[in-house]
Amino acid sequence: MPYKFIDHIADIAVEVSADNLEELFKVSCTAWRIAAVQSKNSFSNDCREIYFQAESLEELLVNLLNELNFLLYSDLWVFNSVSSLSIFTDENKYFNLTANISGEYFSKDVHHFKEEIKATTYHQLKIEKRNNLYSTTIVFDI
Amino acid sequence: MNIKGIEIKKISENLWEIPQSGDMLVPGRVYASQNMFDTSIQNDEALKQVVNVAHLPGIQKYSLAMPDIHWGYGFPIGGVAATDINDGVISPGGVGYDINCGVRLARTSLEYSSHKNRISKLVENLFRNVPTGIGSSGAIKKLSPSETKNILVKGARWAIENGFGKETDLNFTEENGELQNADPNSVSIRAIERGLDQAGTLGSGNHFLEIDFVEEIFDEDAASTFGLFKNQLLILIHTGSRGLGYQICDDYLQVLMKAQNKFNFKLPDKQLTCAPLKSQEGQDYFSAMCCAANFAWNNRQIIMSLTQKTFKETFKMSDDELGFELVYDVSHNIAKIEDHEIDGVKKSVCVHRKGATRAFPINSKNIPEKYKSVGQPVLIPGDMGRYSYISVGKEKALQETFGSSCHGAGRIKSRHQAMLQSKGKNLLEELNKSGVIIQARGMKTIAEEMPHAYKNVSEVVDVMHFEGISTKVAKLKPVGVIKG
Repeated sequence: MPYKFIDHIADIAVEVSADNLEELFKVSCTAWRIAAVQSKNSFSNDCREIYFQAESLEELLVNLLNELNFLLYSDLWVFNSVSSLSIFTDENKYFNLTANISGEYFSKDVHHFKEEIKATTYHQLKIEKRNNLYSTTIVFDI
Repeated sequence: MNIKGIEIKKISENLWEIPQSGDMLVPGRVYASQNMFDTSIQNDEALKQVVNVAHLPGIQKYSLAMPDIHWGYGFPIGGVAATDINDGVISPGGVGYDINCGVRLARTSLEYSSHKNRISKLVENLFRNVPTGIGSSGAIKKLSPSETKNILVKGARWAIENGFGKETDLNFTEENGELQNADPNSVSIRAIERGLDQAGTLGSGNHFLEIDFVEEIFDEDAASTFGLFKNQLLILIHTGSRGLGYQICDDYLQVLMKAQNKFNFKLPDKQLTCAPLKSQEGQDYFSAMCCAANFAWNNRQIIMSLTQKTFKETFKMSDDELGFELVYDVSHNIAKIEDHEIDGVKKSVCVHRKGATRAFPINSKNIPEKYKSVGQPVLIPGDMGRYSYISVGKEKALQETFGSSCHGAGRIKSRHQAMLQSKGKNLLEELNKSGVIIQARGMKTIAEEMPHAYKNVSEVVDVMHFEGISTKVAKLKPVGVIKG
């Protein structure tokens, strides 16, 4: 199982793992989606391109997940899936992420808010590679 | 005793000290009963966070924790730390994502026993009139960015200027509902966008609007000064700065993390990221925090006004008959510049209160004139099934905790555990049996927020009472709750 929600006294915590970094980021998005919104019969008919740059992979991941947060709570746009995602390091050693994400606008007939995620935190967030597997724990402040 | 490798020694019945060691700049001090250590404190990493906070540059006297201490991000919840304004830092982790999450108490002249049969209708009407839950829009139309910026500067005054309450309400709000250092230019467009349609909304999770009655009075003098009497119907509102505040915290965590190389601080936890208060980054964060704080005070002012209108509608009474008045409004997630005596010298410090409430005593200049003879009300909500409390600040708070006290009950069970324990139970019936009528956006929220998920707030309040930090004035029993 690429993601596993674990017990946390006050917030939502999830352990994610994947064979490569890009997949780890995609799985993290899926975990965020499961925590934030419930839906039936949703269609991803709206695509958006996003780009981030950060000094660390953890910061890059937080940027990505908080972007999904912002899109949901400000634009009422529900992320559904990642169609493409790539991460590269530039000549200044910054991490860069480009992604195409798809989703749709919130509809009461289709979507139901689960928890209001204030933000993705840096708590326990450390992307590690062990035995060819990338993993981290993500805590969403709710 | 030793908890997870941290040495802790007893100073008095409910006061414990973690001796200064390693790179700690000051000792840690925790207000808690032995029972709290045995049942909850030893089960998480909160004490480690008290130790971590003691590393903050410029920290004065102690890294403190109130008896509702539990695990947070950077600071523990219940954490208090004061830093020197000249060579100390400001840390967003010492405020939290929900900047100026706080509590507002309003009173009426109504007696619960005479109006018991109207509570159900009142709850229903409040649920209709007060926007609750995620995605709910405000009772006011979606604002423009420039109007939202007005709120960031004016705070609760904006609400009053727009017909939500009266001028005198400001006298009974901490900081008169308006921190002065708020410059909207320090707030990102993203944060403003998150706040455009959230003015006057309750939110979700552990935010609530509660109808209580005064079940017991401990301090007749203070109760009378606050306008309280036994059996009286009161309203408690718990909410904060909503998405705008969360975004500001997130924005500045990133800004300050990027600036860490410049400041060369050695911090044991990334979420303690901070900047010298006098630096540009520190000043920008403080300004943005003030903006979010003002947004939250405006929020609680609007919600109180909507509540008053709903009371009038439900009870079909005039303002005079209803006697609806603000008692006080306190923040429990904030950083403020205050003067405190440290080693006999008056000093300006930045007091971080994260899940802690200001508790100023008799004759304090920053509290309403009417309350100077007794001290500042300290509002401490419990869980929705048991009790909430009103206490009053004491001189000992100024001496020991930078004028701070506890803020609430604190969770002892995760949401998942709470839901498991609630499975198969008729939660509404259980709450009704304990005399509470509730309306919420979903049963999941009710299950997650059931009383068994929280510490007994009586124990938390008692620790502060017996240590003389804030003493009990009244015990409130909830009879109606609305939640998002």
